[in-house]
Amino acid sequence: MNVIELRDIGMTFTDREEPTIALKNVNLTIAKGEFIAIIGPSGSGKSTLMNVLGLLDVASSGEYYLDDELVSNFRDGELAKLRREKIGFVFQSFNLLPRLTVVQNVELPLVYNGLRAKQRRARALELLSLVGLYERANFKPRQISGGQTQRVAIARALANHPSLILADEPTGNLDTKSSKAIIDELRRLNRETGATIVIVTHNPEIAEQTDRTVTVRDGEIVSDTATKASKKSTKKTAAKTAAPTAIPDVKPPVPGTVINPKPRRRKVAL
Amino acid sequence: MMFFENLKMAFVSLRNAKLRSFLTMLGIIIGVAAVVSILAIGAGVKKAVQDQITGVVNANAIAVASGKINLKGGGGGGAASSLGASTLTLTDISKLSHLSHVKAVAPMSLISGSVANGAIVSNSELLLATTPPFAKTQTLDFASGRFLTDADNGKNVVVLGGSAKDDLFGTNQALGSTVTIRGAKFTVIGILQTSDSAASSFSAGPSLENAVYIPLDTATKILGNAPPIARILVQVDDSSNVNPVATEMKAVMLKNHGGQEDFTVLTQKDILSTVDTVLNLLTTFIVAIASISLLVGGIGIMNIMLVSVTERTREIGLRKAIGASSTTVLSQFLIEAVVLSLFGGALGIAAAIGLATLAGRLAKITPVFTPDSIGLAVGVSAAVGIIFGIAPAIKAARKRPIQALKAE
Repeated sequence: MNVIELRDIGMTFTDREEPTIALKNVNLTIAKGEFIAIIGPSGSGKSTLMNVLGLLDVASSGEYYLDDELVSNFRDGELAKLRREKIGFVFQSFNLLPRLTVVQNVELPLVYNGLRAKQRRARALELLSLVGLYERANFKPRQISGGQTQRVAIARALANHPSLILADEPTGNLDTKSSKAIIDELRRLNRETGATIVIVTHNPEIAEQTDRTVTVRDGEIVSDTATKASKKSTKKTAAKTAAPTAIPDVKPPVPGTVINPKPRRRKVAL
Repeated sequence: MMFFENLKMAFVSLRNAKLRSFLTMLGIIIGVAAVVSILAIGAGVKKAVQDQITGVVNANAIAVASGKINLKGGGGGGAASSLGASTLTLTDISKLSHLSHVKAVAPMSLISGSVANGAIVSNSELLLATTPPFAKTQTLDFASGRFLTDADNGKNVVVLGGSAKDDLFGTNQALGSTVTIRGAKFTVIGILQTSDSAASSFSAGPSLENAVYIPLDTATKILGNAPPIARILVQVDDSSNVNPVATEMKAVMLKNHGGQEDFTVLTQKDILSTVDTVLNLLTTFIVAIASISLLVGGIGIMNIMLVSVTERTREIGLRKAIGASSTTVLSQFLIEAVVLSLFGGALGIAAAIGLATLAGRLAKITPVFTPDSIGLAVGVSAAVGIIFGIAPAIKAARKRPIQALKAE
């Protein structure tokens, strides 16, 4: 089953001084449970591609199927619903709301999905446990490190069991150690939960850690190859064992206990 | 469901951005407090002036002034009558006193001259010549003695106003003593209570309760001819008869003056309406000041809203990226703006009541709070708060999520 199918996607920005072609004839299929990198130099159109994939922007031409549903001509309200239910974002600049606490930030997509306060809090804490930040729940984003902030963003992205997680330069603002931790985290989530993860990056080293690398140059896909990592990975098993909902529901943590599935990770966070 | 979630989210957002919320509210508080308190003090001044006039001018009184006064234009008589010439005659008085419902008619003439007790001279007060019915046209409180009677006509007797008595005799016994007016000796037969009333009867100027009174006949004798009659004061039996009697008086006077309207019949209502024109000017002035305060408050609100617009645009972008629809985001922002405006408005009204009461106590005025002024102030402030709170949000929500998210 394909999560994403792009057919002849084109994107032209007409609101600039000169009309700019950002994407042309992009055809791309991403299957459920894939861990994939979209790579290209800056200005190559990879960010535009990611915005189209994430329904943050609408392509000028072509067809976009998300979970086998044609979404390229959806309206604003319908797109919001799809973003809410099917897509989780991880941004380079984290984009947590600075005035909300960590747990409130994770709850935000759940609010818009209509969950009640109690369920929301339980789910958000469960997600924070999953990324090893349960005990940081009531901190403000500025009180935690960059690596931790990005893990909060990952928890938020997972909130509504999305079909697709889009990470735009998720390590762009992090040091090497934290970067590795974030990629490991995404890899682990992909294996353990079967989540489909797309990382957009300009860094080939990060692309190497994924299963498949799609290279974009001048708005076109110039190569689409399986990386070395995929041979070692247990992608197939992960895909097979993936639950119908992308993330298995972990038991809610008992309040007051520190749940830290991978305590080792805490040292990485700076 | 979503409404309550939005309401909660708006409150969380306001609480988390305390400084911004406070500064926005401050604009509204200042605007509302300034407008409401200024208008309340203004209304208080207006009411105090009106009360003083209605207190002094009794409702059953009608006055006739010399010359044609244009009341609508804010008053002002003919040049000649303002300098002392008069078209009013004793014949007018006798004709008017025969009208039905008229209880008393008295002339009022201004005599130039001062009152002296030996070496002490008082010339600060009005020296008036009148007839005994005058006492029925005015409320005069006597400290001792009595007013002029028919038996006093032509005699050298005088009634001293409170302040004239104080000037001439201090705390000494004045009743029965002798004072000198234009070289003639007068016996004091009555002394009025000292009045601190600022406004006088039908003529603006010093209070009639502080004036000095002598009989009209005596004045004629001393001066060698009848003094000009400045006013004719008429007392009607009931206030409901004031308007018909005034109309009748005008007709009688017109006939007596050969069809020439060289006089003005004044009722309490006319006086009030004249004063009202002045007070309305005052109100306009106050409203102008209040509008400036409102503008200042509004600009304060606007500034703080515009300063936070980038932050808010990114917030809207993010909220949309994680699945909020434009409507949801906008209703949250609208709720925030409404909550701030209402809180600010309520605090502003409270501040206004405090301020106006304090100012009123210092200036001895009772501020009058009208629903109009409160409605105006809260309405305008809330409108500014909501418009400038929601307009950038609408703009941001219309953008594609990625544009809002990348806002700088």
